[in-house]
Amino acid sequence: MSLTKEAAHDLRLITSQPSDLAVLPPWAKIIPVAFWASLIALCGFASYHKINTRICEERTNAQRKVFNEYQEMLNQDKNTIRHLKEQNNMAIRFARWVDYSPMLQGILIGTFSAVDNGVQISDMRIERKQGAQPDYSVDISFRAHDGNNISMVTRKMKENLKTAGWVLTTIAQTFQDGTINYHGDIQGSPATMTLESQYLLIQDDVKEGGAQ
Amino acid sequence: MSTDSNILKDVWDILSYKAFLPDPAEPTLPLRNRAFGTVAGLYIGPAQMVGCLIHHTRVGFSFSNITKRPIDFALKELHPEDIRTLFREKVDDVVVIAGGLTDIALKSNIRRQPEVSEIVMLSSQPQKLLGSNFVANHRYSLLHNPVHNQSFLAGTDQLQLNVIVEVVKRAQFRVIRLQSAMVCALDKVLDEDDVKQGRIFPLILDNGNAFFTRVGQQGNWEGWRYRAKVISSPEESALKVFLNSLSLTAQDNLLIVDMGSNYDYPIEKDLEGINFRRFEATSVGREYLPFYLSTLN
Repeated sequence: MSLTKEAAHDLRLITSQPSDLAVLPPWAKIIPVAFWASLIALCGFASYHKINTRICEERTNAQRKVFNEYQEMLNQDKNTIRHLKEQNNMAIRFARWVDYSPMLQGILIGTFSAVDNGVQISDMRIERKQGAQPDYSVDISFRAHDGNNISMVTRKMKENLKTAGWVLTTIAQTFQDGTINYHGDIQGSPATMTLESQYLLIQDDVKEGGAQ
Repeated sequence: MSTDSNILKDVWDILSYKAFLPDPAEPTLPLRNRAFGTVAGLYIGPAQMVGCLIHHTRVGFSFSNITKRPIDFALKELHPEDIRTLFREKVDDVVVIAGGLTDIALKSNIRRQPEVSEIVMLSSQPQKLLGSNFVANHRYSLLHNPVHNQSFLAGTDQLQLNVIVEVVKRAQFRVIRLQSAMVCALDKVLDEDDVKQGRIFPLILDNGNAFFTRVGQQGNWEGWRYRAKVISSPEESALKVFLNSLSLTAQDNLLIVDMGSNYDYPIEKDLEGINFRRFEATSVGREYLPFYLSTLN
């Protein structure tokens, strides 16, 4: 309590009355409150929008990445399907060719049954030579990790063909760039071949090269 | 409230709530209602000046960074640099407490006028309020007895005050309070319950000046004694003579308010055989007492 009932003692010269205090009315306090609240809300919304936008962009990028991966997988599947179709067509053509060439069936069975998993035939050519006797030249390109496998395959081929009535004779065997190029000759073995025509006698020799 | 030139400042004042707060320099309001943050405190008397920082927070006032400097020259030779060197921190506003410049007398012919603002009257029309007690070139403070028709009239030399204020202004400070150290101390101790009931009598020491009053059990101020330059050096003192003149009995007790700047004179040696206790502020150190008292109202 101040004894003077005055709030303070001050020795300065006073030029204003207490009622003249330059203080705004209390209701005007709503102005800065509203301003700062609006500013904070604006900042809050801006931050929320920015964060939300960033999250959406991340999600979009992730989905785009997944879409691209699926697109790539789809392209790979298309290529695989096309390749499989090509293989299928090739196999069908080959099967038809084999069906139209019954003589070769024994040769092909004997050849392919000799090939195991460790050996791959990358190219094969069988060509019949001129003449009445069945005589074929065969060119096969093998791929194998071990050269011994090829030797075993050729040995098995010879055994299989012999069982089917054919004699395989190796003419040349070269190795180049991991591939063994085998060149051989297949001739019929009259003793073992079960074709009926071998028991028929040829009455008149026709001119050489007239029949194949 | 605004002009075209400083409309931006006015807008910012509204947004920062400054416009809703009173001016820190408004003299009619208590310091706690207008001075927020950190202000400087300057307790200056003929012999010494003391500076400190006054911090006003929600928990109240606190004080720090006290700096003392003796004044071994006349006050009119005070230089702004002398004030600036007291404060290393950047502060704009200062509370000035003038010590050793105030005379106090007990009056019974000053009528209380609750219908007017006494502080404004004392500033603008002192002769109208004080009548024949008014003396030119003085600034006045009044302490009224709440029960009896008595008043302590404190007159401070205006010329010396002007010198101090002018130097403080030239030191780039704004004076937000100018107060007499003796008055703020007397205002506080006269409000103590023990003093009001006459169980203890106040003795105020300010810059070597001494003031004493005896309070009756009815709360009336029975007598008073004021003497300037009771203490004039660390070795010399007329305090013992002053105390003897008070005719204290063995049952009397003194409440001594030592405002400092008493030339570091050890007053206890003159108080032998007298019952006394020092006025202490529990929350602040003794050296901050003038600043503590200046913030009470």
